Amino acid sequence: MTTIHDEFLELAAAAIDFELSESERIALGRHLDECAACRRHVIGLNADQRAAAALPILTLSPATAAAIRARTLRRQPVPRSTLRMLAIAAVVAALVVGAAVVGAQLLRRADRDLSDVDPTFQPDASFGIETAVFTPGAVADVIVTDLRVRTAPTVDDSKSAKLEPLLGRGTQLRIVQGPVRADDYDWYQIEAIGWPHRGWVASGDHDGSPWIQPQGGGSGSAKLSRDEAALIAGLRPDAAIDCRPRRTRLPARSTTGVECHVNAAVVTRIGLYRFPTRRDAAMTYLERLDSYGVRPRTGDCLARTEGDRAWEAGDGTQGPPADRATAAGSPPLVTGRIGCFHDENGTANVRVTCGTISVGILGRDDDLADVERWAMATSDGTTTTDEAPGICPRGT
Amino acid sequence: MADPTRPDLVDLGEVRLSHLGQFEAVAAAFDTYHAELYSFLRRSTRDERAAEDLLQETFLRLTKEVDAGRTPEHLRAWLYRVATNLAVSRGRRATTARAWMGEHGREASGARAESPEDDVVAREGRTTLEAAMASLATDARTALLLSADGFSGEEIAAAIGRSHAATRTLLTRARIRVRLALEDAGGVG
Repeated sequence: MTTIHDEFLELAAAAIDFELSESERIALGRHLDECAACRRHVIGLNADQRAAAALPILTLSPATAAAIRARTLRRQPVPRSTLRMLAIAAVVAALVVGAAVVGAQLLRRADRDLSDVDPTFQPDASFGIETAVFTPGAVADVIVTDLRVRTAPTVDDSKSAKLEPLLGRGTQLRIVQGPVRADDYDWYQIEAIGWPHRGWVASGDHDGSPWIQPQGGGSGSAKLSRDEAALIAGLRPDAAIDCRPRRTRLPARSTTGVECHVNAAVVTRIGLYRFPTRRDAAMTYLERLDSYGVRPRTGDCLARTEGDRAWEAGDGTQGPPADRATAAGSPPLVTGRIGCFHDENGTANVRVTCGTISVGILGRDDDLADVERWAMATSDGTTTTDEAPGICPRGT
Repeated sequence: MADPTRPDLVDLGEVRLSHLGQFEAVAAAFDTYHAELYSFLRRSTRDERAAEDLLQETFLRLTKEVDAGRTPEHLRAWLYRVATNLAVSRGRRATTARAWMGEHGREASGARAESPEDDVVAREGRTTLEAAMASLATDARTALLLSADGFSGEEIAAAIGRSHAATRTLLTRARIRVRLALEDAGGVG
């Protein structure tokens, strides 16, 4: 849905390349006067333009440049590029592979036998880290031309019968249970909506190419590994929105990450990161705050001042090393902490440590207090300052 | 049009190439503009070999123009316009080819079939900005690159062969998409 802010953002973007009319300029100026978030977006748009203009020149090797120059001046076109030839070869190869696969499928279908199914078959329940996770009740779409449904989660025809017909692209499936790992596939028991099928489907190829995907790529059903899904399992419902894996540029020491696009009135996005130990989580948290000039046990986020505090008892006292983090010039620090700072865009950020999990919260504007209150709130809407922040997933 | 950010370049836009011999005119144009045009084409096509092909094709077309006595008045803008047309046309062909492969190759085999361009992106490990721009369609990316190279909205519209309004919409959406992608990549760690 387009908002009034979106419309003015488009106007600001257009102003980079085109002359705005006087009425457009006035309207844009008035809106930006009143909208701090829009001003930040506009600053970002102009920074993008400067960054694009400053991209380094990608250089042609002198030898290649000389060759092209010589051919141009001789008016002799370059031979057809090897890329083009490779593309033709790729098409031919794909057709050959496709024909082979289709042929094999036809042979398998012809060999179908429903009589010899082992009802006691138990698949291996181990689970690969990159395997997609769909939760029971989730709706998925078939995204390949023909998807096989079987009576048991295995490709072994002696233990699992093939159901007909194959499910076409776009067929909707409701996840009943799973996943289970067998024959190097991740299997889900499904009901095909509008079809009589109730059986097992593999969620993707061996190489990770998906055969089914969350319907619309929507919230709560993004492709998450088991570890990633566990990160958000106990998360406050209003925060567990449109959660997606984060697998690159994870915070130091962290092993798993998920980002949820909350898009609420106060908060735009949160990140949850798992660490090997609670001390690791706290040390990364302290380093992050320090990078923004925030020292432990200073400030007051609820008073809109950047700072840090402990939310668990015992801060500043000795304790088991595993339960204490250290920072130069500070007494021993408990690992359960909450802090806030303004990032380079002036946006309010809050960081929380909850055992071995760290939560990063990106606000919508510069109000530190709003974001801290959002982080502290429990699922029933109450706010406390001396208990684990409500944003901490249950069980942490 | 002079490029104030590139004082090392000699702007031939105000120079009548016809004052030079045909060979010298094209040679001077090549020596002056091939480096920035190649960089533009590399980013526009995201393909090293395609950029080389299109660079040569651009200057071959200049040769034909000079031979025919139609020496471009504003050379830099003319070269970018030709290069843009070539890059955008190639992008449309590549899109059609990928669609065909999707119907007849990938789905039949069940295998992942990434485009050569995607492969290039992954190999080059480009910057976040370039990654965000790489996710755009060729015409949108090319329009942004032209803007970054100092061309006005009107000049970009002429180069990509769209109306003023369509170009404004294209550029606006491209800029916002890049901005959102960069914000999305910013992380909350």
